[in-house]
Amino acid sequence: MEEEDLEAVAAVLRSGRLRAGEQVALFEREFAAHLGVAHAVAVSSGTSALQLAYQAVGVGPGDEVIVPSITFAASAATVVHLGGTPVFADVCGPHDIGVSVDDVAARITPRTKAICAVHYGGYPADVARLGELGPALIEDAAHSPDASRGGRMAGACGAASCFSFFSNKVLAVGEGGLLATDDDDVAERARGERSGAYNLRTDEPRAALLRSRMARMADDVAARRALTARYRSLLADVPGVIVPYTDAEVATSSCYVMPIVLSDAARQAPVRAQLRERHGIQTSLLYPAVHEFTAYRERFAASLPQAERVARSQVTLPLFGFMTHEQQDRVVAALAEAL
Amino acid sequence: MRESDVEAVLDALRSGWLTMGPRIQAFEAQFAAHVGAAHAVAVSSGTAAVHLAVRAVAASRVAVPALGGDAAAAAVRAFGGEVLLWDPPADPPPDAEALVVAHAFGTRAQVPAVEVPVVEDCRAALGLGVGRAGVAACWSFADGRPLAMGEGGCLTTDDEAIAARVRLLRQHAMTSGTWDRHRGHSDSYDVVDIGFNFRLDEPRAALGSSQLAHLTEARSTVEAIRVDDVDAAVEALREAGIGARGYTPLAPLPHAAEAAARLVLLEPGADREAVARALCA
Repeated sequence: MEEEDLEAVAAVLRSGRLRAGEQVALFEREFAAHLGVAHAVAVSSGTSALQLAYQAVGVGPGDEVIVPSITFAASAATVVHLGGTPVFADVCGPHDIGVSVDDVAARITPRTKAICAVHYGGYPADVARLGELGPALIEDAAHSPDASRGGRMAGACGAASCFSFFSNKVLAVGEGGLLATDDDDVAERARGERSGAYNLRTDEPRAALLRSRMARMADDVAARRALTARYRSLLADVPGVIVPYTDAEVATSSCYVMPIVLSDAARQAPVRAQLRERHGIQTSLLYPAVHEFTAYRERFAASLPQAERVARSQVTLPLFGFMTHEQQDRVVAALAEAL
Repeated sequence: MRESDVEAVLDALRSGWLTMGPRIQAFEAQFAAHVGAAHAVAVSSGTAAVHLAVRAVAASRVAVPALGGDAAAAAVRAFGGEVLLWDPPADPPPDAEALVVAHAFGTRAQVPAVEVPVVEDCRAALGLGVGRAGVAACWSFADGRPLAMGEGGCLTTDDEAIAARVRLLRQHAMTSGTWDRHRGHSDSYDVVDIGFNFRLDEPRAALGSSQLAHLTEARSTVEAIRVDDVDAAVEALREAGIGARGYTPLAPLPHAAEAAARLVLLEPGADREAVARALCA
C-alpha cells in the first residue's frame, strides 16, 4: 500500500460521498480501456461479476454451463443460483491446468447456454478455440487482470469476462470485482441487475483505491513474470516437480500464483506440512476439484481424471511482486529437501 | 465522517490485511453489543443480510409487507420460496411459515405476536430501538445511513444456528480445516452448500467500528411523502433540483388511510419544506 493509495481513499472519505459515483465511473472507463473493450461494470466481487455475466447471457432454469473443475467454487455456484446446472469439464493435465477444449466440446448439449473459461493462475485458457464451439463464452479472469494469449487480452475475448480484486489477487482492494464486455446488451443487463434482486454494487472508496493501485499493476506483473522465470529455472533442478506452462506463456501471463504439480500425489500433504512446520513457508492448494466437494459431488457428479490428479498433487508456492531472490531460494531449497 | 474515521480506514489499509481479519471480528462484537444481540455477522450490504436471513430461516412460505417488503420479496423468490403479501396492520397470512417485518422509511413497524420466525428488516431503522423482536434483524450501512460505509450491512441474532448458517453462506459455504483425512489432504477445505460472496472487508469494518463509537440518535434516512401521481411528483421535484424517485408498494393497500399510498422517496438530506413547495407549485 503506497502513500498515494491512502491519499486517494482519504480524499473520497472526506468528501462524504461514499456510494458509487465518479470514482467508480472512472475506474470502469480505465479498466475497459486497459482491456480494449467497450464496457466495464464494477461490482462487489468476482463472484458477483460471474453471476451477472451468466445472467446477462441468459443462463436460467434448465440451462447448462460447462465449467472446469479446477477453479474456485464460485465459477459453478453462481450457475446454480440462477437455476442452471454446472457441467464440470476436465483440465488438460499437470502441464496445462486450463480447461481441455476437447473435453468441453464433448460435453456440449442442446441445453448448454455458456462455457466458462478459467484463466488459471493468470495463464489464459484457449479462448480462441473455446469461442468457436458455439455457446456463449464467459471468461473467468479472476486470476488474470493483465494477461494475453495469441495477442488478445484475457477478458476481451468472450461474451463477458469477470475479474476479482479480492485481497489475495494481483490487483487487490479487499472485496471487489468487475464485469467487462463489448456487448451493449450484456453491459446494460449487468448494470441493471447489479441493483436488482441482489445488491452487487461497489463504492467510491474501493474504486479510488483500485484506480490508484492499477497504475502500478503493469510493474507488479512484470516483477511477477521475472520471479516466475527464475522459479522455473531453479525448479528445473528439483526432481519430482512438474512446472506447468511454458516460458513463452509466462511472458504474457499475470503470474498470479506459482503452481507446481508433484509427480507423486502421495507427497502433496507431507511436503506442504513440512514446508509449513519446519520452514514456516505457507503454500496453498489451487484448487481442490469443485466436483468433489460435498455440495457438488452427488448432485453434479463427474469423472474427471486430469482434474482429480491435479487436485491431489498440486502445490502453490509463495509468489508476490516484491518477493526477494533470497526468499525464493529458501522456498526451492525447502521443497527439494521435503521431496 | 470524522478524521478519526478516516484514520481508522487508513490504518486498516496500512496493515495490509484487507479481508477476513480482526477488524471484522471487532466490529461484529461491537455491533452486537450495540443492538443487544448475542451475534452479529457483518456482510456486504443490508440487502445481503435480508437474503441470508431468508435462507437461514429456510421457510417455504414467507409473509412480506406490501409496503417496504421489496428486498424481502426478492430474497424469498431467489431462495425459491413463496411470497405471501401482507398488509399491516392486518393480521399476517395464517399459512405463513415466517414473517418479515419492515421498519421502512424511518418508522417503527408493529411486530405482530406470531408463532413463526420473524425477521426484522431494520435497514432504515438504526437507532430506533428495534431489532430485538424476531429471530434475526437486518441492518444497512449504505451511504446516507446513520452508520455509513458506502456499501455494507449486518445480520444480528440471538440464535447460534442462524449466526453459523449466515457465516457459512456469506463465504461460499466453505468450511476450513482438515477435511476428509483419509484423502491425505491437509490445510484444505470443503464446500458444503451453494454459497455467496457476501463478505464485508477490513477497511469498511474499521470504518464501522470508528463510526459506532460516535453514533448518536437516528435520523431518518429516507423521507417518504404520499402523493396521488408519482410520475408528476418526481418530475416536479427534479425540475426543482431535488433528488427523488417514485415508489409503488408491492400490492394495493386496502388498510391505508389515504386513498392511494403511492410514495415519493427523497434522497438523504433533502429538504422537506422545499419538497412541499415544489409539489404545491
